[in-house]
Formats: sequence, structure tokens, C-alpha cells
Amino acid sequence: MKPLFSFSNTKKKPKHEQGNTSVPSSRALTHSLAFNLQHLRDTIGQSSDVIFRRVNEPGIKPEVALVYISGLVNQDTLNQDVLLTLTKHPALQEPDLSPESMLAKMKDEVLAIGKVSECKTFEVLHAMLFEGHTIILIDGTNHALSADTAGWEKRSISEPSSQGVTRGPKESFTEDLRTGTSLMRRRIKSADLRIEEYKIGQRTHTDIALVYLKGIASNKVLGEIRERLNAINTDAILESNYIEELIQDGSLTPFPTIQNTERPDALAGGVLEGQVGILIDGTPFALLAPSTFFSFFQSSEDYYQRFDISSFLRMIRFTSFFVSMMLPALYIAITTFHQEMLPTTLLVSLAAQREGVPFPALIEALMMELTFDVLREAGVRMPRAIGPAISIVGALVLGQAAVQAGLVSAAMVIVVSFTAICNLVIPAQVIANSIRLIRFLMMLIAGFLGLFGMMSFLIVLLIHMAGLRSFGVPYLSPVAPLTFRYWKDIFIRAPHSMMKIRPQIFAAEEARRQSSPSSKHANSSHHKQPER
Amino acid sequence: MDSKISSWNAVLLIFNAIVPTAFIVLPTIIVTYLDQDSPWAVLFAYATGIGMAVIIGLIIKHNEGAPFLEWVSKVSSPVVSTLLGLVLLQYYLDASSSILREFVNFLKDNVLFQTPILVIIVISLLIAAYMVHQGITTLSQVNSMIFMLYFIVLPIYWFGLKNYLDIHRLLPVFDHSYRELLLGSMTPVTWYSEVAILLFLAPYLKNPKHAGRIGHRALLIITVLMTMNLSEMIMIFGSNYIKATSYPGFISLSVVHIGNFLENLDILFISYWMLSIYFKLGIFLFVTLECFKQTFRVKEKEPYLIGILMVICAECLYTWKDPSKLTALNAEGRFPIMMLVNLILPTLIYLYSLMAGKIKSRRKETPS
Repeated sequence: MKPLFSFSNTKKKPKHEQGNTSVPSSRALTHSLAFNLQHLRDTIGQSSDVIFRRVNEPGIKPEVALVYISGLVNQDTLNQDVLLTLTKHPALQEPDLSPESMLAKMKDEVLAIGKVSECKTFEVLHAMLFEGHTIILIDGTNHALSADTAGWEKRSISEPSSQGVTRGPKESFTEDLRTGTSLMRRRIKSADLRIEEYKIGQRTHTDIALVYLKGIASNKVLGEIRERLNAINTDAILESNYIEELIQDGSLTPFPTIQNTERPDALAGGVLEGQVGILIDGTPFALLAPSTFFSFFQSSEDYYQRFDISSFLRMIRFTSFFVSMMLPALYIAITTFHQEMLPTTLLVSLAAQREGVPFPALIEALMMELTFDVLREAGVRMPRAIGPAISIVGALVLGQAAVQAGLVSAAMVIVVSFTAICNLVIPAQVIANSIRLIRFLMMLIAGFLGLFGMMSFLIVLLIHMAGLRSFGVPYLSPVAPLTFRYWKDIFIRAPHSMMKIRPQIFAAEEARRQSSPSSKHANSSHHKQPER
Repeated sequence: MDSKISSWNAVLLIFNAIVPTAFIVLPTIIVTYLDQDSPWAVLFAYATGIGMAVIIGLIIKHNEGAPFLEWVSKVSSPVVSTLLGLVLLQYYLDASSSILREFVNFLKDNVLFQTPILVIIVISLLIAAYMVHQGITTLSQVNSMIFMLYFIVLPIYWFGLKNYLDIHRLLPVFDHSYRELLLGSMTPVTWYSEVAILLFLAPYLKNPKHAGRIGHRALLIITVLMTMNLSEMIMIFGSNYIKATSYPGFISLSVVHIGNFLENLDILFISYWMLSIYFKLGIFLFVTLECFKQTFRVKEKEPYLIGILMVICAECLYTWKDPSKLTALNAEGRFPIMMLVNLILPTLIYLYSLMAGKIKSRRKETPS
């Protein structure tokens, strides 16, 4: 069935529109060093951080020039391995050295740098320059050398700021892509771990790495992700959300269909389940796709503590999800339409509290919820030093004063506070935010149509969610479509020993995670250290 | 991704195509004829239902899960197919609107006293339309999710009523004549004949050749549930009280309480019932649309959905305005119509196709 609204990003574009690295016309280098340098100056402009350095050593002929961007190169590498070797290396002191042989000698003998490549066009030259490479131009040849001297200030690996755990690894990704890929390599030491790199954004040329396990990740999903990444035609990618929004299945949904994480262990866990990780340079938040609704309720810590407590916590999370979504709406519906539902004593108590409140329950709830969201947003923006003070003023003083002034009932304060706390229980911030939006809609509907409205809205939500796909994977799987054998890690977390099979929800096949007991002995040799 | 309906999901689709309205309509009608012997009527209806499921299963097996009216067109003629399609379309439009009206009447009487009927009808139809738009596979998957809530709702219901059950109200057994049993069984048989919607669901089934089994299993679950439910109602209120009430099922729900802390749970059950009736409406709307598509041989059925919704809305608003008319239809009028549409006509076509096939093969065998 065709979707009602189709905002797919996967629309095939004509070939000339494809690709993400389109720059002004590609022009070949000339044999004249002066011309090449001038052309570079003209195209880059008078940027103070772009350094043009001629190497005018008496013994070196033909003339050589270096171009690099200060701040993007490692100054020590540049000085020691490029400048010093260029000026002092005996191979370059030979008389009558032709430009071509000098280029070849530099590339193969002189430069003590791992990655040295030849550039023939200004387009490639620009790209290398902005990557932090040092460009070596030689007079008399239309080729240039690009030496990888990249090295800039970066944040060291620290604890995750939004996905902390009490037990488990304390590392998080940083803004540096290479740190991210190395963290993945350190966790999955397998030849099957593949890292595919892309460059997206016509102006930002952001590096993006696709991380997956060959043989575990579904080829169909991989193909779909590659196709969608290739179809992106934008000038800038500054954070993973850009990619998320551009490749997700449908944009007209409040539910996220791609997970994000700053934890390398969470990404590694997903990759081991058959998901595909997407690391983006410039942000510590990596993406995991495809993702189902239930993925957002799983936390890394679930697997680092005993299964019983993990299962209990997971059930608490699901309960919190429903409470967070429905409690204020239920309160409105019951107090406005279905008072007979309440036991008499509770009804009398509520009626007494609401007696002086001048607003209907819907307005009262909306006011309180909006106030809470304002406080929450202010809490994110305000300086840390005054944060606690504002929290006390907002939560305690305002709440207490509002009740005493008779603007809201004490029951409503309890409902809103408990709802807010339940919202914080959900491990994925992205789905917790979705619930915030849905909650407002549900409150409005409950205010007009009571439980009938709530049930109707719930049905629409369920049908909508069941119709969602994340790269072809049904969003509600394994509940809809129903596959009971994959339920061991959905509402509860079964003991590791019982989860021998990797579910086929994301993975290419139901591969075994663990061997059967009979083959334990045979398999034990597999874990031995290789002989040295 | 699998886009076909699994057999289990199909069983639950049939279940929810019958139960939600059966739960509110059947008890009063059956008890009127059979009093304490009412549960036997459900069992008798089940016996008949097995036969109907077998016939529907045979037809689907015979046509290999092909769209029903296309198959009719092949075995008879396009004219017959169109005429049959028109009759079926009229029936399904009527069925959808009466389901909606039963839902609306209930809400108006018990939940939303002030809300205008048109608002409830429009909201319900829009939701059903959204369900249909998402596709029958999605609908069946969510339907199965909703069904699983029975495992929470039913234990609360049965456990919550245990103090009110008086088994003596079911006695004496077999106190009614066969004629009364037959009369009392007619309405449940009518409801059970809805298993015929499998004829239109067949092209979407993963295993159409198991259609008979699917129908039978659905009827078995319904029978178990209805028998227990009806028996409990009689044990709580006695048959005379049930005869006098419009919604005995919900009155029994209002009695449920667990200890002194969980009481007035009827709204909880009503909410659940609302969820399930949306699915019934969605299933019938889908079948109506499918029937329309096959009758008029249109490729894209979605553009006609709005038209069909408007017809259902108008019929719901005006044809069934008078609740007593709907009650009379349920008690007396449905049996002949539904038997004709759900059983007799498909069976006749099936028999004709068998005969035509035999004649054809005989002609082939006989040298000219």
C-alpha cells in the first residue's frame, strides 16, 4: 500500500546530481609553480591560516613550495617529517634532478610519512588541504604531493554525558571520527568488521563512516542505507541529526526510527546484533539503524547487570512510558467525563481540591505541563551555577504557591510531577521527547472526548507505529508481526545463556551467538590465544 | 518484510470481526428464547459454524486464494460476478453501517451523553479509514496485539465476578424444546456466518489453503469465550434480568471488583471493547472496499474510500436512526440475509464450478 504522504529521501536522482563532493570545475595543475600557487591564492582567498611556504635551500633545484592550513596540521610532523627532511635529505641534493624524479624520490624515499599521495587537479588539492594534509608543489611538474600531516586539537575520551551507567564502560565517542572507528575496532576485533567511509556535504565535506559486521548485517539494509546516503544532496552536515532526518523512512511521524548513542559499547552491541552504525565526524553521537520501537527501551546497562534486575527495570521503563504518555490525559478524562470510575473517597477528596480551582481540568493540566516544559528548557540553557536555585524556585516555590493561590489543585501537581519523572526513566532521550509531544495531543483529545478520544487516539498511534518501517524492518517487530521466539530481549532481558540465537529482526540470519553445550568443549579452543 | 497475513493473525481477524458486537447483541436475544439453556445455543451455533467454515475453506482451496469475484467471473460469467458483487457490496455497506451504529448507540447511552452523534461517527470512520489505508497486514498485526490484552482483561473479569456466581441459575438443563433451541441458535449462527469474510481476505493470506482451519479455530475461540461469558451472566443475574436489559455484558462488568481497592472497572472493559470494535469496523470497511474493487474491477481502490465512507455515514445516520429497528434486524432480519450472502450464494457458485468442471472434463474425455 502506498503511503498517504510520501516524503522519502530515497528518490533516485539523475547521475549528474549525485555525489556529495561537487566543487567548482576541476582544473588540472600546470607545470608552473608560480601559476599553481597564484591559482591557489585566488581560489582560497586571503585566509590568514593558509600558509604558503617556499623551500629555497641552495642545493635544492627545482624549486619546491609547501601549502598547508595552520591549525589543521600537526606542527611537529610538519617540521620534523616534511620541512626538515626536504631540506636535509641527501637524495634531494643531487644535481640535475628533474622535477619528475624529485617528485618520485620525495614520495618513495624522502618523506617519513605514512600516507603520501599524488594530486593532479586543484579539486583534489583543495580537498586534501582541508583535510589537514600538506601540499608539496614542485616547479616544472603538473603533479603535486599530498602528505598526511593532519593533526588538530581534539577533546579526549570522556564519560558519556547523556547515557551514563553505574556499571559498564565509561568511555564515549568524541567529535573525532577516527577516535570513533578506533573505539569500535578495540571492541570488535574481527576481520568481518567493515568501515566504509563517505564524504557528505558540498561545503562541509563531512566524513561519515558506516560500521557493520559482514555476514551479520543484512545486505538489503546495507544497500538501502548506502543508497540513501548517496542520495543526500546537501551543502552541510554538522551533526548526526542531519543524516538521521535525511535518511529516515518517513518524516511525518513523532517516533524516531534511528537510534543515536554516544556509547561505543552500545554501538558495538548494535553492530553485533546486525544493526549498522553510522559515525559522523564532528559529533560524539553515532547513529544505529535499523531500529525498532523496543530498541529505545534497551540500555547498555541491561546487559551488564543480572538479568532479573534488568528485566524488572525494563518493565518499569515500559510502565513509565505509558504513564508519561497517558497519566495527565487520564486524569483529565476521569475528572471531566468519567467520575464514576473513581472510588467514592478519592472522588470526594479530588472534588474538594478542585473546588476553588477556576479552570477546567484540561486548562489546568495544560498550564502545568507547559510550565514544567518551560522550566525544563530553562534548566538546559541556564548557567550551571544558578541551575539548582532556579529548580528550587520553579519546582517547589511556584508549585506550592500555585496550589496555595488556588490556581491548580495539589492532585494536578502530583500528576504532572510524576509524569515528568516517568519521562526521565526512558533511556533514549529521543523517544522521551516524542512522548512529550504525544502527551499534549492526548490531553487535548481527552479534554474533548474523554476515554473514547483516548482510545481512538491510541488506536491511531498503534496503527501508525505498526505501519512504520526502519529501513524495511517493521517498527513494532517482534510484537507486530508477532515472533514470540525473539521476545527474550524485549519486555524482559533473559539470561545471556538463554539468548543463544541472534534474532533475525536486524541480522541477515538467525546466527548463533553461543554454541550449544555439546559443542562447548570443541569450541573452547576457539577462544585460546593464538600461538606466537 | 512479509506482507501477507499469517494464519494466526487471520484467526484473530475473524475473531474480532465477530466478537465485539456479538458480545453486546447476542446475550439478550439468545436468553429471550432459551433462558438458562442459552449456552447450548452457542454450542449449537458452533456446530453449524464448523460446517460453514469447512465450506468457505473448500471454496478458497478450490480457487487457490484468488480474489473471490474474479474467480466467480471465471467459473460463471462477468455478469453473474457483477450482480453477486453488487449484492455483496450492499450487504457489506449495510453491515459496516450497522456495526458503526451499534457502537455509536452504545457510546451515546453509556459514555458520551452530550457529544453529537455525527462527531462520533466521523471520528470512528476516519480511524477505520486510516486502518484500511495502512493495509490489512498492519491491521491484522495490531489486531493480534490488542487480542493479547484479553490475557489481562479476562482473568480480572472472571476473578472479579467469582463472589456473585450462582450455579443454580443455570438449572434445570435442557428445559427448552428443540424448536426453541433452533430459534435461539439462529442469531449466533448468523454471527458465525461472518467467517465468510475469509473469501475476501484469501488473497492476502499467507496460507489460503488453510482458510477452513483458520475459520474453525476462530469460531472455536469465540465459542469458548461466548459460552463462558453467557454462563457467567446467567449465573450472576439470572435470565429474566438479562432479557430486560440492553447491554447485559457491560452490566456484568460493572459488578467486577477485586477486594476494596479495585472497583468500578466497567470503564476499563468498555475502553478495551472500544479498541476491539474499531478493529471490527476496520475489517468490515476493508472487506467492503475489496468487494467494491472486485465488483467494479478498479485497480486503485483508495480513491473510492471517501465515497464509501460517506455512504456508510449516511446510512448510519438515517437508516438506523431508530435503535428498535436495529434490534429487530439483529433478532429477525439478519438470519436470512446473512445466510444467503455468506453461505448460500458462495456455496451455489462453488457447486456450479464443480459441476461445470466435471462436465468440461467429461467432454474432453468423450471423443467428438
